[in-house]
Amino acid sequence: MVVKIFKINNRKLSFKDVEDTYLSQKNSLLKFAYVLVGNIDNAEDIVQEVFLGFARAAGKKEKLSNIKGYLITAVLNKARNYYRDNKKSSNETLDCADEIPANNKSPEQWAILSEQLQLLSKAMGELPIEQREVVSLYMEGSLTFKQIAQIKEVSTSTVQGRFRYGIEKLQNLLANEVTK
Amino acid sequence: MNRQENIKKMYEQAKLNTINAKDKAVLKQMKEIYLEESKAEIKTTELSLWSNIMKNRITKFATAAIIFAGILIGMNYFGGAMSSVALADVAEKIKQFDSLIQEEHRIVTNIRQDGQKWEMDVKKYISTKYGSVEQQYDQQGNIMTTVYLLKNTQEIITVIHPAKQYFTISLKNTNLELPDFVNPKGIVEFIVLEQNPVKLGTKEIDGKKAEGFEAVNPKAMTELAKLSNGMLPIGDNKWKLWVDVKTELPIKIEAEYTMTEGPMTNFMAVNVVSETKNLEWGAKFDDSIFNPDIPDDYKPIDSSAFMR
Repeated sequence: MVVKIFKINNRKLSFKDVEDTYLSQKNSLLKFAYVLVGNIDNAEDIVQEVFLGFARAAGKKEKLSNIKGYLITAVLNKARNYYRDNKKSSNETLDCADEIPANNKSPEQWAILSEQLQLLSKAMGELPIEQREVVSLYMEGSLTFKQIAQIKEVSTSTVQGRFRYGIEKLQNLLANEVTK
Repeated sequence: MNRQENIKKMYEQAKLNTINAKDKAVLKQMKEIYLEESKAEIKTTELSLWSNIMKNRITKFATAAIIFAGILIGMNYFGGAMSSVALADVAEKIKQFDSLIQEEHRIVTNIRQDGQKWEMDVKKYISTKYGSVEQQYDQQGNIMTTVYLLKNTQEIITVIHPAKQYFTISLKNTNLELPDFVNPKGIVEFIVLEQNPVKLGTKEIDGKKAEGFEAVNPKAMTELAKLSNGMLPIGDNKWKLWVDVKTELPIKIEAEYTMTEGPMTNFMAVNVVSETKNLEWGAKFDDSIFNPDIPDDYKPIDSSAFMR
């Protein structure tokens, strides 16, 4: 789904455009995916798939909406597939979020995580998926509640409620961290 | 600072970096996919073009005329601007040269589909004796298409590099010949069409004082559209010719024209904006450039169906 809320910017992308987009967006997308799924290996897979899909769409000269919006939405959709494939209901939290991954990863590793990000992802994993998505979209996409409501296809007040509960819970979980 | 700002600040401060080797590997994979898809798109477009041409049952004459006219579209502007007395000397001057190299930046926009745009840099070699060669490049400097107009064989050969394909249109046994107006002498001959170019005054171009002339919807273009038997539906067009006051030779040409749906535009209505500059009158270049350079692994597109 290409979200309509983003400003249309239809133009054909050269590979230089694609490369520039990759370099400018990879870290934030990995971070976004990581806080959504709580597992860096899966987050890397998701983001890699999203970038390959982006290259494919650009090569086909498909019309792309605002590129960052396109990428965020693609990550969100793949994260949902991930929840579904892992048979997680919308009210479950992430099992893997209990474990903070170490940074001594295999040679295939892509992302290096700060301790702060790992703590944040673990805390996000404690939130129900719906709250986690709303909070993540707010933090990464700098979207308004109205825009998030359009993406989620729910009312703005529902988004505001999920956001309020999510932030409140995060604040409690990260009480020591956020005041640093 | 409220709660949500605290969390957002923490999110922003939480660092994540990536490993260069993996970045390179992902980018390499992305490039392969991008190029593969780009080739597929070009191939589809070309097939679509030919399919459309076939559906329209173009005659041999018309097919040749269309392609011929399309290739020449960047040149016949001279017809619109030089028939005034003031330009007669320029016309005479051009006759002295039997070769020309010119560079053009061409932007083609789909009028009916917002944002669909093609941008190319074109280098054209023109010879009185041999014909012309046009090389079209994308904005990354990759060669996309080479078009040969060969006088000796009376052929038009178009090589589509990303698709590794080419096709040949023969003008033998047709009413058409590659006329002289693919070369500087012909450009002058093409001026016989009467025009009333508007003087644009003078300005400096690349350090040279130049005088400008403008022709709007010149008769030459109308004739060209007629020649194409309606298959090259040129709409409004405007041409600006800038002549070096000192040498009396054209140094820059600006053109803008529309084309409604037709085979040459794959049945899209387009607006074309082009700027031709760095004209090297009498330029020396190796004649071997007129020997079509088609790599062994390029496949021919059978154009015989269009020539029946």
